[in-house]
Amino acid sequence: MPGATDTKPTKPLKNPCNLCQSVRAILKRPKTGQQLCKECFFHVFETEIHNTIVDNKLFNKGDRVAIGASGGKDSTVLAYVMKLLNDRYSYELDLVLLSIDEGITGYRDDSLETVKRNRDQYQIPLLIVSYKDLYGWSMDDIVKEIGRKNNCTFCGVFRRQALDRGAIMLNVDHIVTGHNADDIAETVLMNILRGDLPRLQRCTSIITNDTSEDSSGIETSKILRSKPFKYTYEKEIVMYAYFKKLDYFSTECIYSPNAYRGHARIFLKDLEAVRRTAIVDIIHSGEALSASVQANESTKLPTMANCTRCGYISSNELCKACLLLEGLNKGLPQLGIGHTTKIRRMHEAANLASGLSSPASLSSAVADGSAGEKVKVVTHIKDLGQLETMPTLASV
Amino acid sequence: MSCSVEEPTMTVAEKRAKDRAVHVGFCCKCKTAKSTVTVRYAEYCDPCFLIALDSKFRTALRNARPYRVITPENVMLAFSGGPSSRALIHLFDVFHSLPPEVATNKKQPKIYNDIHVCHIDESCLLEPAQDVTSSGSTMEQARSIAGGYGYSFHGVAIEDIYDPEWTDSRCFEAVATLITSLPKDQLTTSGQAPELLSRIIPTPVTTASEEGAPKLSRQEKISKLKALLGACTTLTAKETVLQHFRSSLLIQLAKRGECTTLALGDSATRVAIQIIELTAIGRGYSLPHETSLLSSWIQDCKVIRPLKDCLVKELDTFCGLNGLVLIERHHAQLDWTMKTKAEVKSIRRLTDEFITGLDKEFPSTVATVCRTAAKLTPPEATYGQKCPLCHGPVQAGVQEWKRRITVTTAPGELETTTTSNSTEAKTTEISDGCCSSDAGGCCSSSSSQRPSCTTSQTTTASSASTPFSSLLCYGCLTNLRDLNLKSMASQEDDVSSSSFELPPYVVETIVHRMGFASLDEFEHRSDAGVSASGTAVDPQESLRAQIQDFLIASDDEDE
Repeated sequence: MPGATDTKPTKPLKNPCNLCQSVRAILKRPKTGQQLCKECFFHVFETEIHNTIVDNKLFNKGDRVAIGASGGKDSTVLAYVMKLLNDRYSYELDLVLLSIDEGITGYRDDSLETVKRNRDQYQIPLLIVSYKDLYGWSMDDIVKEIGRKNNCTFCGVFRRQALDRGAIMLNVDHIVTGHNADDIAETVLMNILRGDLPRLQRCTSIITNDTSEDSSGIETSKILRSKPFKYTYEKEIVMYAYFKKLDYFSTECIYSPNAYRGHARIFLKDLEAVRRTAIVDIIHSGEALSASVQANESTKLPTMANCTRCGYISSNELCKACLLLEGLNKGLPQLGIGHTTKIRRMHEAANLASGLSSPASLSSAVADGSAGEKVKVVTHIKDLGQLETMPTLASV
Repeated sequence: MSCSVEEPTMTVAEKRAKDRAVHVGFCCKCKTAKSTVTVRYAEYCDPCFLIALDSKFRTALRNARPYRVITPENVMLAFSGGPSSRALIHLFDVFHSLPPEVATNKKQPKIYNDIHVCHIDESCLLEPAQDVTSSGSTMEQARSIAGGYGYSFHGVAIEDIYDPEWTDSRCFEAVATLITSLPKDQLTTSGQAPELLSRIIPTPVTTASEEGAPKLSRQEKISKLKALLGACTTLTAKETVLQHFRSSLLIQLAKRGECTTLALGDSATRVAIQIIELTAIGRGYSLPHETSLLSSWIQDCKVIRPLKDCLVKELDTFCGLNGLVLIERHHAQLDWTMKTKAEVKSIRRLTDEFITGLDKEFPSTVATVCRTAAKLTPPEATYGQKCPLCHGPVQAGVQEWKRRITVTTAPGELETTTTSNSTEAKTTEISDGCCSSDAGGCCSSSSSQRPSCTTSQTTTASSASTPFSSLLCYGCLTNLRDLNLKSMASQEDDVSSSSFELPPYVVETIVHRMGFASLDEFEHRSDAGVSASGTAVDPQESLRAQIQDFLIASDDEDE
């Protein structure tokens, strides 16, 4: 380093850190291959995230920010680093933890214990929103109903909405999630392989749900989502958690295996092994490609509206979550999976015939399904404010 | 993120295959003959297959250029010797062999006027062990194949990339070496990628040289090429650099043949692999240009890929059915240049395996990937600001982008001072390095490398450093991180400590990007003094700032 002068005339270190030159290196940085000491690694790791936050203007002063916390390595490190940077650089953010309980025994229950410990360790309040409460179905119930195939569709669709609903309950401006560079690079590859141009365009943007562009007056949640770990390598997150001795939960979801994405992930790991910058390079390509898509008029996003049932933003009359839920409640779990247009139409026709077209069918079905328990069925975002049994913040 | 069902859904082709199930075992076109060829989900008999492939080619050609053209153009077919480009020549021939009644019809204009065939001979890079036994040059084989069609043939050897003749100006007599901004001892300890600068070394002006007499012997050019490839530490870097050289030569060949169109034989399989590969090596910005059916990026030379809809398997079959002779071992495999087995994996090779494997499981992969990229619009960039190495478009601010997401400063240092710090360091080093005392040594030692170097009239120009890293596109910047830094000179060293040189076409672009019209002008300005070049009109604002940074420092040093 051109500014770092070795002040101590002691005997030369055996393996000095590439940056400070004064401490023995203990790790090889996955992103650059540099040999670093622990402190220098922490410094570069945190500074890169800080740069990402500052350069992309992720937050405004005084924002209330929810950290999507699963208890896994990414979100645990995210919670830790967000708190650290908030204090160090005076972002003046009001941080809260938001967890989704999918209801997967042997996986989420254990990981939520980790989140609860994190809450105490980092002194950040925590809210847990569960599928059971929101939808009347836990993932265990869903898997029992539909089997192991396609259950990730339910989980994914429900989680996205659940996060937003949790965020509304918490009255936050922003949700940060622990998606890392590997995830984004993988998604770029996946979207090219699947030919999904609209997603290819969106997947590299650091902030999503940015409603500044559309002025259509549709009621959307004004909550932004961002990924401060966009340029952070998964390996470095693990390394950081390891050296900081952070408390995290490391088990794969018991329902998760996915063949096609698995191929892409293995390929990405192979690429990284051949050239360590490959992940960042793919993201850079992805950003450039995203600009190339933008110029193309033929790939416009579908027009957004509000779901007639729950009010959530949707490109159809009924949002995907409501559609899936309806399928579950009526014992037609294939509804909403794969090419849905046909099934949707069939279903609507059937609905008309039996006179069941009112939103009441949903809530009644849900209430039936979980009779006897004290349930909090949230069917509309607007209803959230009036909810009597609003989950209280488990504040510290 | 890791758990969501994203299985590819059934494509149109798959559905059609289902409908065709009634005709199992028979050709899906004529439905009378037994099928002999299977392409993805469709089965064909031989004649129907040939017709189908031919019409695919015609469709692509028509899309690349409307039939109703006023002036016919000349087209250059790039022929490597492999099945795809071999099929390209044959398909062009079939396409142009009009029946006599049409040929005599004056109202029917020709799409392409003259067809030329070109070939790059890479035999100098073939594995040395086998070189002795094999016939060596692939040039004659290629020439005879082109001759068989009556097309004029143009050939060049890959090592000619070092020939001053193979540049836009056709006599750009300079090469360049790379120098690192950090001294060597710091390179090994800091582990970070230094800023790279170039030092332009004009090759001596050969006034008495006769027309056509080679200025560099073939052996010299080969050793220069091998030295550059030798400085690349990874197979990925070697392959990428070689690919840039190929492209550069192909464009030059097309221009020389007075062709306004260069047709490449890239198959769908090849394009799909390329799309993923380019993404993986950070070339997403130029990807639309490098994979599209028609690219007009290169000035005065369109590039078309008319076989972009044909799978490599189809083209193989096509060559087989027509009994077309291929050139064996036409393509340089650089495996042998790697010392250990572990390194014999490049991003291209990995991608190849990945796509081929995926395509077996999901046969629509190649088509999907190609269609994705086909919908992309090329970026808006000015051709004048092209990357010196790959001649692709350059995005602004890529170095800063990298710097922000990959921090390489120690905890004590303030982040904001990073850039100024490094430029300061750079300037002092430069003033150390480029003085006349070193230049003498540089000339004499480099003359041992290049025996033709006899005079020292160019030393002043050669001692000046010119930017390099800052001119590159993201992909090339990434690729050059795989260069062995020890093989470069640092600022204090003379030129001879650099073990490789960049070919003239690269230097030509560097000089142009710096705002000089020609090498003469560049030398003149450099001789006239730094202040003169400081006032030179530079099109790129950021670039000027960078040059000025160290020009001012050189001023201080002189005083």
